[in-house]
Amino acid sequence: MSVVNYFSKNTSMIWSALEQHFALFAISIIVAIVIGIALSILITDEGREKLARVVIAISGAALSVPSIAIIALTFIFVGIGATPAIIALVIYSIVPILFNATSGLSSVDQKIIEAGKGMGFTKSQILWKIKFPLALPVIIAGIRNTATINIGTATIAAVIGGGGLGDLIYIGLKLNRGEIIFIGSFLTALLAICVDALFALLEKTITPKGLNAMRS
Amino acid sequence: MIELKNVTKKFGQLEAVHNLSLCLEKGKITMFIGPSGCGKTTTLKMINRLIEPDEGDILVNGESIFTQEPVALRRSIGYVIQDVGLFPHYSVFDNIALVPRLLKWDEKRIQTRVDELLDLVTLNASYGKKYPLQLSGGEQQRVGLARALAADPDILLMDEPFGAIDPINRSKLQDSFLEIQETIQKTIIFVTHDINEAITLGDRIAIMNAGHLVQYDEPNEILQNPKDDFVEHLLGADRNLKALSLEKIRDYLDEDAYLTVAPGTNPEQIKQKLRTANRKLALAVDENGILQGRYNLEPSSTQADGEKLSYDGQPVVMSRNNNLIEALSMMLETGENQLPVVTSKGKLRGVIKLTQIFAKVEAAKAEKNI
Repeated sequence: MSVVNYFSKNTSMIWSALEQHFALFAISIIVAIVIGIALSILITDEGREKLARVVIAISGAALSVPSIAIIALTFIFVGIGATPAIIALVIYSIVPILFNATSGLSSVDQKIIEAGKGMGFTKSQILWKIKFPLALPVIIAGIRNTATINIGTATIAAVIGGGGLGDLIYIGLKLNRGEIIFIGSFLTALLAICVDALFALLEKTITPKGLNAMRS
Repeated sequence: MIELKNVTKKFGQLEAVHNLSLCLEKGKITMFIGPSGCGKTTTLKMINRLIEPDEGDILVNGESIFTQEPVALRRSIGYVIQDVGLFPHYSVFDNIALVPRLLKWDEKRIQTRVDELLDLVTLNASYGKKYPLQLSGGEQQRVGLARALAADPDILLMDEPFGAIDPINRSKLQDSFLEIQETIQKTIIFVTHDINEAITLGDRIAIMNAGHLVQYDEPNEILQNPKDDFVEHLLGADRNLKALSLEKIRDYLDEDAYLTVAPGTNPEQIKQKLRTANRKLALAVDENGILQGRYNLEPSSTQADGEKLSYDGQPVVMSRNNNLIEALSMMLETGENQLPVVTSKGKLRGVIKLTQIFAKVEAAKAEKNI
Protein backbone atom coordinates (compact mmCIF):
# COMPACT_ATOMS: atom_id res chain seq x y z
CA MET A 1 0.00 0.00 0.00
CA SER A 2 3.04 2.19 0.37
CA VAL A 3 2.99 2.72 -3.41
CA VAL A 4 -0.50 4.25 -3.28
CA ASN A 5 0.50 6.18 -0.23
CA TYR A 6 3.62 7.70 -1.76
CA PHE A 7 1.78 8.38 -5.00
CA SER A 8 -1.09 10.24 -3.35
CA LYS A 9 1.28 12.36 -1.27
CA ASN A 10 3.60 13.28 -4.15
CA THR A 11 1.19 13.42 -7.09
CA SER A 12 2.31 16.79 -8.38
CA MET A 13 6.03 15.90 -8.13
CA ILE A 14 5.47 12.60 -9.95
CA TRP A 15 3.35 14.33 -12.57
CA SER A 16 6.02 16.92 -13.28
CA ALA A 17 8.66 14.15 -13.50
CA LEU A 18 6.46 12.42 -16.09
CA GLU A 19 6.08 15.70 -17.99
CA GLN A 20 9.82 16.27 -17.93
CA HIS A 21 10.43 12.75 -19.11
CA PHE A 22 8.01 13.15 -21.98
CA ALA A 23 9.66 16.45 -22.93
CA LEU A 24 13.13 14.82 -22.94
CA PHE A 25 11.78 12.09 -25.17
CA ALA A 26 9.73 14.28 -27.52
CA ILE A 27 12.40 16.91 -28.13
CA SER A 28 15.22 14.43 -28.60
CA ILE A 29 13.26 12.10 -30.89
CA ILE A 30 12.03 14.94 -33.12
CA VAL A 31 15.56 16.29 -33.55
CA ALA A 32 16.86 12.75 -34.16
CA ILE A 33 14.14 12.06 -36.76
CA VAL A 34 14.90 15.26 -38.66
CA ILE A 35 18.67 14.72 -38.64
CA GLY A 36 18.48 10.95 -39.20
CA ILE A 37 16.11 11.12 -42.16
CA ALA A 38 17.87 14.09 -43.74
CA LEU A 39 21.19 12.24 -43.51
CA SER A 40 19.73 9.03 -44.92
CA ILE A 41 18.21 10.90 -47.88
CA LEU A 42 21.55 12.52 -48.53
CA ILE A 43 23.53 9.29 -48.51
CA THR A 44 21.04 7.21 -50.49
CA ASP A 45 21.11 9.64 -53.39
CA GLU A 46 21.99 8.14 -56.75
CA GLY A 47 25.68 7.38 -57.14
CA ARG A 48 26.30 7.17 -53.39
CA GLU A 49 25.41 3.48 -53.02
CA LYS A 50 28.84 2.73 -51.58
CA LEU A 51 28.51 5.43 -48.94
CA ALA A 52 25.06 4.11 -48.02
CA ARG A 53 26.49 0.61 -47.52
CA VAL A 54 29.27 1.98 -45.33
CA VAL A 55 26.81 3.98 -43.23
CA ILE A 56 24.54 0.95 -42.82
CA ALA A 57 27.54 -1.09 -41.62
CA ILE A 58 28.83 1.57 -39.22
CA SER A 59 25.43 2.49 -37.79
CA GLY A 60 24.64 -1.21 -37.43
CA ALA A 61 27.75 -1.61 -35.31
CA ALA A 62 27.10 1.64 -33.44
CA LEU A 63 23.77 0.23 -32.27
CA SER A 64 25.69 -1.89 -29.79
CA VAL A 65 27.38 1.05 -28.03
CA PRO A 66 25.84 1.15 -24.51
CA SER A 67 23.69 4.16 -23.68
CA ILE A 68 25.57 4.90 -20.46
CA ALA A 69 28.78 5.32 -22.47
CA ILE A 70 27.20 7.95 -24.70
CA ILE A 71 25.73 9.77 -21.71
CA ALA A 72 29.10 9.73 -19.95
CA LEU A 73 30.85 11.09 -23.05
CA THR A 74 28.27 13.87 -23.44
CA PHE A 75 28.78 14.77 -19.81
CA ILE A 76 32.52 15.15 -20.38
CA PHE A 77 32.06 17.49 -23.34
CA VAL A 78 28.85 19.38 -22.51
CA GLY A 79 28.43 19.18 -18.75
CA ILE A 80 25.25 18.53 -16.79
CA GLY A 81 21.62 19.58 -17.08
CA ALA A 82 18.65 18.97 -19.35
CA THR A 83 20.40 20.15 -22.53
CA PRO A 84 23.28 17.65 -22.29
CA ALA A 85 20.71 14.93 -21.55
CA ILE A 86 18.79 15.84 -24.68
CA ILE A 87 22.00 15.94 -26.73
CA ALA A 88 22.92 12.47 -25.49
CA LEU A 89 19.47 11.13 -26.30
CA VAL A 90 19.59 12.67 -29.79
CA ILE A 91 22.97 11.04 -30.48
CA TYR A 92 21.71 7.74 -29.17
CA SER A 93 18.47 7.90 -31.21
CA ILE A 94 19.93 9.02 -34.53
CA VAL A 95 21.73 5.74 -35.08
CA PRO A 96 18.74 3.35 -35.30
CA ILE A 97 16.65 5.90 -37.22
CA LEU A 98 19.46 6.46 -39.71
CA PHE A 99 20.05 2.71 -39.98
CA ASN A 100 16.40 1.94 -40.79
CA ALA A 101 15.81 4.90 -43.07
CA THR A 102 18.97 4.18 -45.05
CA SER A 103 18.17 0.51 -45.51
CA GLY A 104 14.55 1.37 -46.36
CA LEU A 105 15.47 3.98 -48.95
CA SER A 106 18.21 1.91 -50.55
CA SER A 107 16.07 -1.22 -50.80
CA VAL A 108 13.42 0.35 -53.04
CA ASP A 109 13.24 -1.74 -56.22
CA GLN A 110 15.65 -0.29 -58.79
CA LYS A 111 13.25 -1.26 -61.59
CA ILE A 112 10.59 1.06 -60.19
CA ILE A 113 13.07 3.90 -59.87
CA GLU A 114 14.28 3.30 -63.41
CA ALA A 115 10.70 3.28 -64.70
CA GLY A 116 10.13 6.62 -62.98
CA LYS A 117 13.32 8.04 -64.40
CA GLY A 118 12.48 6.76 -67.88
CA MET A 119 9.08 8.43 -67.69
CA GLY A 120 10.65 11.80 -66.95
CA PHE A 121 10.54 12.12 -63.17
CA THR A 122 12.99 14.67 -61.82
CA LYS A 123 15.36 13.68 -59.04
CA SER A 124 13.22 15.20 -56.31
CA GLN A 125 10.06 13.62 -57.76
CA ILE A 126 11.78 10.23 -57.65
CA LEU A 127 12.63 10.84 -54.00
CA TRP A 128 9.29 12.18 -52.79
CA LYS A 129 6.88 10.29 -55.04
CA ILE A 130 8.62 6.93 -55.27
CA LYS A 131 11.44 6.25 -52.84
CA PHE A 132 10.12 7.95 -49.73
CA PRO A 133 6.55 6.59 -49.73
CA LEU A 134 7.81 3.08 -50.49
CA ALA A 135 10.42 3.24 -47.70
CA LEU A 136 8.03 4.88 -45.24
CA PRO A 137 6.87 1.68 -43.48
CA VAL A 138 10.51 0.74 -42.75
CA ILE A 139 11.35 4.29 -41.65
CA ILE A 140 8.37 4.41 -39.26
CA ALA A 141 9.26 0.99 -37.87
CA GLY A 142 12.73 2.34 -37.11
CA ILE A 143 11.32 5.40 -35.36
CA ARG A 144 8.93 3.21 -33.37
CA ASN A 145 11.78 1.03 -32.09
CA THR A 146 13.89 4.06 -31.32
CA ALA A 147 11.06 5.75 -29.42
CA THR A 148 10.75 2.93 -26.87
CA ILE A 149 14.52 2.67 -26.48
CA ASN A 150 14.70 6.45 -26.09
CA ILE A 151 12.11 6.49 -23.28
CA GLY A 152 14.02 3.79 -21.41
CA THR A 153 17.37 5.46 -21.92
CA ALA A 154 15.99 8.81 -20.75
CA THR A 155 15.84 7.40 -17.19
CA ILE A 156 19.64 7.15 -17.24
CA ALA A 157 19.79 10.82 -18.25
CA ALA A 158 18.92 11.59 -14.61
CA VAL A 159 22.56 10.78 -13.81
CA ILE A 160 23.66 13.97 -15.54
CA GLY A 161 20.79 16.07 -14.26
CA GLY A 162 18.34 15.50 -17.05
CA GLY A 163 15.38 15.10 -14.69
CA GLY A 164 12.35 13.04 -15.56
CA LEU A 165 11.23 9.69 -14.19
CA GLY A 166 14.88 8.67 -13.78
CA ASP A 167 15.01 11.05 -10.80
CA LEU A 168 12.38 8.98 -9.02
CA ILE A 169 14.35 5.79 -9.59
CA TYR A 170 17.56 7.37 -8.24
CA ILE A 171 15.82 8.83 -5.21
CA GLY A 172 14.33 5.42 -4.52
CA LEU A 173 17.73 3.77 -4.87
CA LYS A 174 19.37 6.28 -2.54
CA LEU A 175 16.63 6.08 0.09
CA ASN A 176 16.36 2.34 -0.45
CA ARG A 177 12.61 2.68 -0.98
CA GLY A 178 11.18 0.12 -3.39
CA GLU A 179 7.84 1.90 -3.90
CA ILE A 180 9.51 4.99 -5.38
CA ILE A 181 11.65 2.86 -7.71
CA PHE A 182 8.50 0.98 -8.67
CA ILE A 183 6.53 4.12 -9.51
CA GLY A 184 9.41 5.51 -11.59
CA SER A 185 9.92 2.29 -13.55
CA PHE A 186 6.22 1.57 -13.92
CA LEU A 187 5.46 5.01 -15.36
CA THR A 188 8.45 4.75 -17.71
CA ALA A 189 7.19 1.40 -18.99
CA LEU A 190 3.63 2.73 -19.30
CA LEU A 191 4.83 5.73 -21.28
CA ALA A 192 6.85 3.47 -23.56
CA ILE A 193 3.90 1.17 -24.16
CA CYS A 194 1.57 4.08 -24.96
CA VAL A 195 4.04 5.67 -27.37
CA ASP A 196 4.66 2.30 -29.02
CA ALA A 197 0.93 1.74 -29.49
CA LEU A 198 0.62 5.19 -31.03
CA PHE A 199 3.39 4.47 -33.51
CA ALA A 200 1.87 1.06 -34.33
CA LEU A 201 -1.31 2.89 -35.29
CA LEU A 202 0.66 5.43 -37.32
CA GLU A 203 2.54 2.63 -39.08
CA LYS A 204 -0.73 1.06 -40.09
CA THR A 205 -2.35 4.22 -41.41
CA ILE A 206 0.74 5.45 -43.19
CA THR A 207 1.61 2.27 -45.14
CA PRO A 208 0.56 2.95 -48.75
CA LYS A 209 -2.69 1.16 -49.52
CA GLY A 210 -1.33 -0.68 -52.52
CA LEU A 211 1.38 -2.39 -50.47
CA ASN A 212 -1.18 -4.13 -48.31
CA ALA A 213 -3.39 -5.07 -51.22
CA MET A 214 -3.56 -8.82 -51.32
CA ARG A 215 -4.04 -10.57 -54.62
CA SER A 216 -7.68 -11.38 -55.06
CA MET B 1 11.83 8.79 -87.67
CA ILE B 2 14.79 8.04 -85.42
CA GLU B 3 18.30 8.11 -86.77
CA LEU B 4 21.36 6.77 -84.98
CA LYS B 5 24.65 8.10 -86.32
CA ASN B 6 27.94 6.38 -85.46
CA VAL B 7 26.85 5.78 -81.89
CA THR B 8 29.44 4.24 -79.56
CA LYS B 9 29.12 3.49 -75.86
CA LYS B 10 31.82 2.07 -73.62
CA PHE B 11 31.51 0.81 -70.08
CA GLY B 12 35.08 0.91 -68.85
CA GLN B 13 37.01 -1.37 -71.17
CA LEU B 14 33.91 -3.01 -72.58
CA GLU B 15 32.52 -1.58 -75.78
CA ALA B 16 28.78 -2.13 -75.38
CA VAL B 17 27.79 -0.51 -78.67
CA HIS B 18 30.23 0.01 -81.49
CA ASN B 19 29.77 2.66 -84.16
CA LEU B 20 26.08 1.93 -84.66
CA SER B 21 24.25 3.69 -87.47
CA LEU B 22 20.69 2.96 -88.49
CA CYS B 23 17.34 4.54 -89.28
CA LEU B 24 14.19 3.47 -87.48
CA GLU B 25 11.08 3.99 -89.54
CA LYS B 26 8.17 6.09 -88.34
CA GLY B 27 5.08 4.12 -87.32
CA LYS B 28 6.85 0.76 -87.51
CA ILE B 29 7.98 -1.79 -84.96
CA THR B 30 11.74 -2.34 -84.97
CA MET B 31 12.90 -5.36 -83.00
CA PHE B 32 16.37 -5.44 -81.46
CA ILE B 33 17.57 -8.95 -80.83
CA GLY B 34 20.80 -10.67 -79.85
CA PRO B 35 22.44 -12.56 -76.98
CA SER B 36 22.76 -10.89 -73.57
CA GLY B 37 25.39 -8.19 -73.55
CA CYS B 38 25.05 -7.57 -77.30
CA GLY B 39 24.16 -3.92 -76.70
CA LYS B 40 20.44 -4.02 -77.53
CA THR B 41 19.23 -2.62 -74.20
CA THR B 42 22.05 -0.07 -74.11
CA THR B 43 20.93 1.13 -77.55
CA LEU B 44 17.35 1.46 -76.36
CA LYS B 45 18.32 3.38 -73.25
CA MET B 46 20.43 5.81 -75.25
CA ILE B 47 17.30 6.91 -77.11
CA ASN B 48 15.72 8.34 -73.93
CA ARG B 49 19.12 9.31 -72.52
CA LEU B 50 19.02 6.93 -69.57
CA ILE B 51 22.47 6.12 -70.93
CA GLU B 52 24.55 8.79 -72.63
CA PRO B 53 26.61 7.66 -75.62
CA ASP B 54 30.34 8.41 -75.74
CA GLU B 55 30.32 9.22 -79.43
CA GLY B 56 27.82 9.82 -82.21
CA ASP B 57 24.43 11.48 -82.44
CA ILE B 58 20.80 10.42 -82.22
CA LEU B 59 18.22 12.38 -84.19
CA VAL B 60 14.46 12.29 -83.73
CA ASN B 61 12.64 13.87 -86.68
CA GLY B 62 15.92 15.44 -87.73
CA GLU B 63 16.59 17.04 -84.35
CA SER B 64 19.36 15.89 -82.04
CA ILE B 65 18.06 14.57 -78.72
CA PHE B 66 21.12 16.03 -77.02
CA THR B 67 19.80 19.55 -77.50
CA GLN B 68 16.81 18.69 -75.29
CA GLU B 69 16.43 18.46 -71.52
CA PRO B 70 16.58 14.74 -70.59
CA VAL B 71 13.50 15.05 -68.35
CA ALA B 72 11.41 16.72 -71.08
CA LEU B 73 12.69 14.23 -73.66
CA ARG B 74 11.69 11.26 -71.50
CA ARG B 75 8.20 12.65 -70.93
CA SER B 76 7.75 12.71 -74.71
CA ILE B 77 8.78 9.05 -75.13
CA GLY B 78 6.81 6.06 -73.81
CA TYR B 79 8.84 3.55 -71.81
CA VAL B 80 7.92 -0.03 -70.92
CA ILE B 81 10.28 -2.38 -69.06
CA GLN B 82 10.33 -6.10 -68.38
CA ASP B 83 9.16 -6.12 -64.78
CA VAL B 84 6.71 -3.38 -65.71
CA GLY B 85 7.91 -1.13 -62.88
CA LEU B 86 4.38 -0.12 -61.91
CA PHE B 87 4.35 1.91 -58.72
CA PRO B 88 2.93 -0.48 -56.11
CA HIS B 89 1.70 2.38 -53.92
CA TYR B 90 -0.35 3.93 -56.72
CA SER B 91 -3.65 2.60 -58.07
CA VAL B 92 -3.85 1.51 -61.70
CA PHE B 93 -5.53 4.82 -62.50
CA ASP B 94 -2.79 6.86 -60.82
CA ASN B 95 -0.10 4.79 -62.51
CA ILE B 96 -1.53 5.50 -65.94
CA ALA B 97 -2.04 9.16 -65.02
CA LEU B 98 1.63 9.64 -64.03
CA VAL B 99 3.01 11.33 -67.12
CA PRO B 100 -0.12 13.41 -67.85
CA ARG B 101 0.14 14.70 -64.27
CA LEU B 102 3.83 15.49 -64.74
CA LEU B 103 2.74 17.44 -67.81
CA LYS B 104 0.05 19.17 -65.71
CA TRP B 105 -3.00 18.11 -67.70
CA ASP B 106 -6.29 18.99 -66.04
CA GLU B 107 -7.96 16.13 -64.13
CA LYS B 108 -10.96 15.93 -66.44
CA ARG B 109 -8.76 15.33 -69.45
CA ILE B 110 -6.75 12.74 -67.49
CA GLN B 111 -9.92 10.90 -66.51
CA THR B 112 -11.06 10.67 -70.13
CA ARG B 113 -7.61 9.61 -71.28
CA VAL B 114 -7.24 6.85 -68.66
CA ASP B 115 -10.67 5.42 -69.54
CA GLU B 116 -9.72 5.49 -73.19
CA LEU B 117 -6.43 3.68 -72.51
CA LEU B 118 -7.95 1.01 -70.26
CA ASP B 119 -10.37 0.32 -73.07
CA LEU B 120 -7.53 0.21 -75.61
CA VAL B 121 -5.61 -2.42 -73.63
CA THR B 122 -8.91 -4.30 -73.09
CA LEU B 123 -9.13 -3.84 -69.33
CA ASN B 124 -12.46 -3.08 -67.69
CA ALA B 125 -12.77 0.51 -66.35
CA SER B 126 -13.16 -0.94 -62.83
CA TYR B 127 -9.46 -1.86 -62.95
CA GLY B 128 -8.63 1.79 -62.36
CA LYS B 129 -9.23 1.40 -58.64
CA LYS B 130 -7.12 -1.74 -58.23
CA TYR B 131 -3.49 -1.83 -57.14
CA PRO B 132 -0.68 -3.43 -59.15
CA LEU B 133 -0.19 -6.27 -56.66
CA GLN B 134 -3.79 -7.33 -57.23
CA LEU B 135 -3.20 -7.89 -60.95
CA SER B 136 -1.83 -10.87 -62.87
CA GLY B 137 1.45 -10.50 -64.76
CA GLY B 138 -0.37 -10.08 -68.07
CA GLU B 139 -2.71 -7.46 -66.66
CA GLN B 140 0.22 -5.56 -65.15
CA GLN B 141 1.90 -5.54 -68.53
CA ARG B 142 -1.24 -4.12 -70.15
CA VAL B 143 -1.30 -1.36 -67.54
CA GLY B 144 2.41 -0.77 -68.23
CA LEU B 145 1.63 -0.30 -71.91
CA ALA B 146 -1.30 2.01 -71.13
CA ARG B 147 0.95 4.05 -68.84
CA ALA B 148 3.58 4.41 -71.54
CA LEU B 149 0.93 5.57 -74.02
CA ALA B 150 -0.75 7.99 -71.61
CA ALA B 151 0.60 11.26 -72.99
CA ASP B 152 0.30 9.97 -76.55
CA PRO B 153 4.04 9.90 -77.35
CA ASP B 154 5.17 9.29 -80.93
CA ILE B 155 7.88 6.91 -79.80
CA LEU B 156 7.60 3.88 -77.57
CA LEU B 157 10.62 2.11 -76.09
CA MET B 158 9.91 -1.43 -74.91
CA ASP B 159 12.59 -3.40 -73.09
CA GLU B 160 11.64 -7.10 -73.11
CA PRO B 161 8.13 -6.21 -72.00
CA PHE B 162 6.75 -9.76 -72.29
CA GLY B 163 9.90 -11.50 -71.05
CA ALA B 164 8.55 -12.49 -67.64
CA ILE B 165 5.15 -13.72 -68.88
CA ASP B 166 4.32 -17.41 -69.41
CA PRO B 167 4.20 -18.58 -73.07
CA ILE B 168 0.40 -18.80 -73.37
CA ASN B 169 -0.26 -15.35 -71.98
CA ARG B 170 2.71 -13.97 -73.88
CA SER B 171 1.23 -14.96 -77.21
CA LYS B 172 -2.11 -13.44 -76.16
CA LEU B 173 -0.34 -10.22 -75.22
CA GLN B 174 1.57 -10.19 -78.49
CA ASP B 175 -1.70 -10.53 -80.40
CA SER B 176 -3.36 -7.68 -78.61
CA PHE B 177 -0.18 -5.62 -78.83
CA LEU B 178 -0.25 -5.94 -82.63
CA GLU B 179 -3.92 -5.08 -82.67
CA ILE B 180 -3.25 -2.00 -80.55
CA GLN B 181 -0.37 -0.95 -82.78
CA GLU B 182 -2.72 -1.12 -85.78
CA THR B 183 -4.74 1.64 -84.13
CA ILE B 184 -1.97 3.74 -82.62
CA GLN B 185 0.74 3.48 -85.32
CA LYS B 186 3.61 4.44 -83.01
CA THR B 187 7.29 4.25 -83.79
CA ILE B 188 8.25 1.35 -81.55
CA ILE B 189 11.68 0.13 -80.52
CA PHE B 190 11.29 -3.30 -78.97
CA VAL B 191 14.13 -5.27 -77.35
CA THR B 192 13.74 -9.04 -77.09
CA HIS B 193 15.86 -12.17 -76.83
CA ASP B 194 13.14 -14.35 -78.34
CA ILE B 195 13.56 -14.82 -82.08
CA ASN B 196 9.95 -15.95 -82.48
CA GLU B 197 8.77 -12.76 -80.84
CA ALA B 198 11.04 -10.73 -83.12
CA ILE B 199 9.60 -12.45 -86.20
CA THR B 200 5.99 -12.24 -85.03
CA LEU B 201 6.01 -8.60 -84.00
CA GLY B 202 8.70 -6.92 -86.06
CA ASP B 203 8.25 -4.84 -89.17
CA ARG B 204 12.03 -4.80 -89.14
CA ILE B 205 14.60 -6.70 -87.10
CA ALA B 206 18.00 -5.42 -86.04
CA ILE B 207 20.26 -8.32 -85.06
CA MET B 208 23.14 -7.37 -82.78
CA ASN B 209 26.16 -9.23 -81.50
CA ALA B 210 28.94 -7.95 -79.24
CA GLY B 211 28.03 -4.31 -79.82
CA HIS B 212 27.86 -4.59 -83.58
CA LEU B 213 24.86 -4.49 -85.88
CA VAL B 214 24.96 -7.79 -87.79
CA GLN B 215 21.86 -7.57 -89.97
CA TYR B 216 19.00 -5.09 -90.25
CA ASP B 217 16.11 -6.04 -92.47
CA GLU B 218 12.53 -7.19 -92.77
CA PRO B 219 11.80 -10.53 -91.06
CA ASN B 220 11.07 -12.24 -94.35
CA GLU B 221 14.37 -11.13 -95.84
CA ILE B 222 16.30 -12.22 -92.76
CA LEU B 223 14.64 -15.64 -92.79
CA GLN B 224 15.39 -16.14 -96.46
CA ASN B 225 18.85 -14.61 -96.57
CA PRO B 226 20.57 -14.81 -93.22
CA LYS B 227 23.75 -12.82 -93.52
CA ASP B 228 26.10 -15.17 -91.72
CA ASP B 229 26.36 -18.22 -89.46
CA PHE B 230 25.54 -16.17 -86.40
CA VAL B 231 22.18 -15.08 -87.82
CA GLU B 232 21.43 -18.56 -89.14
CA HIS B 233 22.15 -20.02 -85.73
CA LEU B 234 19.98 -17.41 -84.05
CA LEU B 235 17.08 -18.22 -86.39
CA GLY B 236 17.29 -21.95 -85.59
CA ALA B 237 16.96 -25.03 -87.74
CA ASP B 238 13.26 -24.54 -88.48
CA ARG B 239 13.58 -21.21 -90.18
CA ASN B 240 11.55 -22.39 -93.19
CA LEU B 241 8.70 -23.24 -90.89
CA LYS B 242 9.17 -19.88 -89.17
CA ALA B 243 8.62 -18.22 -92.55
CA LEU B 244 5.06 -19.54 -92.36
CA SER B 245 4.69 -17.83 -89.01
CA LEU B 246 5.20 -14.50 -90.76
CA GLU B 247 1.94 -14.98 -92.59
CA LYS B 248 -0.86 -13.39 -90.61
CA ILE B 249 -4.34 -14.89 -90.60
CA ARG B 250 -5.77 -11.46 -91.45
CA ASP B 251 -4.33 -11.78 -94.97
CA TYR B 252 -6.00 -15.15 -95.52
CA LEU B 253 -9.48 -14.43 -94.24
CA ASP B 254 -12.39 -16.05 -96.03
CA GLU B 255 -15.63 -14.14 -95.63
CA ASP B 256 -17.58 -16.33 -97.96
CA ALA B 257 -17.18 -19.86 -96.62
CA TYR B 258 -19.98 -19.61 -94.05
CA LEU B 259 -23.39 -18.20 -93.32
CA THR B 260 -24.23 -15.92 -90.41
CA VAL B 261 -27.39 -16.42 -88.41
CA ALA B 262 -28.98 -14.69 -85.43
CA PRO B 263 -28.53 -16.56 -82.13
CA GLY B 264 -31.49 -18.81 -81.39
CA THR B 265 -32.51 -19.36 -85.01
CA ASN B 266 -34.44 -22.58 -85.54
CA PRO B 267 -31.94 -25.41 -86.32
CA GLU B 268 -34.11 -26.83 -89.11
CA GLN B 269 -34.11 -23.44 -90.78
CA ILE B 270 -30.31 -23.24 -90.50
CA LYS B 271 -30.00 -26.71 -92.01
CA GLN B 272 -32.16 -25.65 -94.95
CA LYS B 273 -30.20 -22.46 -95.49
CA LEU B 274 -26.84 -24.24 -95.40
CA ARG B 275 -28.02 -26.80 -97.94
CA THR B 276 -29.34 -24.17 -100.29
CA ALA B 277 -26.11 -22.17 -100.06
CA ASN B 278 -24.00 -25.33 -100.27
CA ARG B 279 -22.08 -24.50 -97.07
CA LYS B 280 -21.18 -26.60 -94.03
CA LEU B 281 -20.65 -23.86 -91.47
CA ALA B 282 -23.04 -21.32 -89.93
CA LEU B 283 -21.91 -18.81 -87.33
CA ALA B 284 -24.28 -17.28 -84.79
CA VAL B 285 -23.62 -13.55 -84.48
CA ASP B 286 -25.52 -11.10 -82.27
CA GLU B 287 -26.62 -7.59 -83.23
CA ASN B 288 -23.18 -6.18 -82.27
CA GLY B 289 -21.34 -8.54 -84.56
CA ILE B 290 -20.06 -10.62 -81.63
CA LEU B 291 -19.64 -14.33 -82.33
CA GLN B 292 -21.90 -16.44 -80.10
CA GLY B 293 -21.56 -19.98 -81.45
CA ARG B 294 -21.01 -22.19 -84.47
CA TYR B 295 -23.21 -24.71 -86.28
CA ASN B 296 -21.56 -27.49 -88.23
CA LEU B 297 -23.46 -29.52 -90.79
CA GLU B 298 -22.00 -33.03 -90.57
CA PRO B 299 -22.75 -36.35 -92.24
CA SER B 300 -24.74 -38.65 -89.95
CA SER B 301 -26.08 -42.18 -90.44
CA THR B 302 -28.71 -41.82 -87.74
CA GLN B 303 -30.51 -38.88 -89.33
CA ALA B 304 -33.13 -39.60 -91.96
CA ASP B 305 -31.70 -36.97 -94.30
CA GLY B 306 -28.11 -38.20 -93.74
CA GLU B 307 -26.89 -34.98 -92.09
CA LYS B 308 -27.00 -33.56 -88.58
CA LEU B 309 -26.49 -30.06 -87.29
CA SER B 310 -24.17 -29.77 -84.28
CA TYR B 311 -23.89 -26.64 -82.15
CA ASP B 312 -20.92 -25.36 -80.17
CA GLY B 313 -21.68 -22.44 -77.84
CA GLN B 314 -18.02 -21.82 -77.06
CA PRO B 315 -16.26 -22.27 -80.37
CA VAL B 316 -12.49 -22.18 -80.65
CA VAL B 317 -11.52 -18.91 -82.37
CA MET B 318 -8.38 -17.35 -83.80
CA SER B 319 -7.34 -13.73 -83.72
CA ARG B 320 -6.60 -11.81 -86.90
CA ASN B 321 -3.00 -11.33 -85.89
CA ASN B 322 -2.32 -15.01 -85.22
CA ASN B 323 -0.11 -16.55 -87.83
CA LEU B 324 -0.68 -19.56 -90.05
CA ILE B 325 1.38 -21.88 -87.83
CA GLU B 326 -0.83 -21.07 -84.87
CA ALA B 327 -3.94 -21.66 -86.96
CA LEU B 328 -2.56 -24.96 -88.23
CA SER B 329 -1.72 -26.26 -84.78
CA MET B 330 -5.14 -25.23 -83.46
CA MET B 331 -6.82 -27.08 -86.35
CA LEU B 332 -4.79 -30.20 -85.60
CA GLU B 333 -5.81 -29.94 -81.97
CA THR B 334 -9.53 -29.40 -82.53
CA GLY B 335 -10.01 -31.47 -85.66
CA GLU B 336 -11.83 -28.58 -87.37
CA ASN B 337 -10.81 -27.59 -90.87
CA GLN B 338 -12.05 -24.05 -90.57
CA LEU B 339 -11.90 -21.72 -87.61
CA PRO B 340 -13.72 -18.43 -87.05
CA VAL B 341 -11.52 -15.36 -86.70
CA VAL B 342 -12.51 -12.59 -84.28
CA THR B 343 -11.17 -9.29 -82.94
CA SER B 344 -10.07 -8.90 -79.32
CA LYS B 345 -13.60 -7.78 -78.52
CA GLY B 346 -15.08 -10.93 -80.05
CA LYS B 347 -16.37 -9.47 -83.33
CA LEU B 348 -16.47 -11.93 -86.20
CA ARG B 349 -14.16 -11.07 -89.10
CA GLY B 350 -14.22 -14.24 -91.21
CA VAL B 351 -12.84 -17.76 -91.14
CA ILE B 352 -9.44 -19.31 -91.79
CA LYS B 353 -9.49 -22.57 -93.80
CA LEU B 354 -7.06 -25.47 -93.72
CA THR B 355 -7.06 -25.59 -97.52
CA GLN B 356 -5.66 -22.05 -97.64
CA ILE B 357 -2.76 -22.95 -95.36
CA PHE B 358 -1.95 -25.93 -97.57
CA ALA B 359 -2.09 -23.72 -100.63
CA LYS B 360 0.48 -21.41 -99.00
CA VAL B 361 2.78 -24.35 -98.22
CA GLU B 362 2.48 -25.55 -101.83
CA ALA B 363 3.29 -22.08 -103.11
CA ALA B 364 6.37 -21.85 -100.88
CA LYS B 365 7.49 -25.27 -102.10
CA ALA B 366 7.11 -24.17 -105.72
CA GLU B 367 9.15 -21.03 -105.00
CA LYS B 368 11.98 -23.11 -103.51
CA ASN B 369 12.10 -25.36 -106.57
CA ILE B 370 12.66 -22.57 -109.02
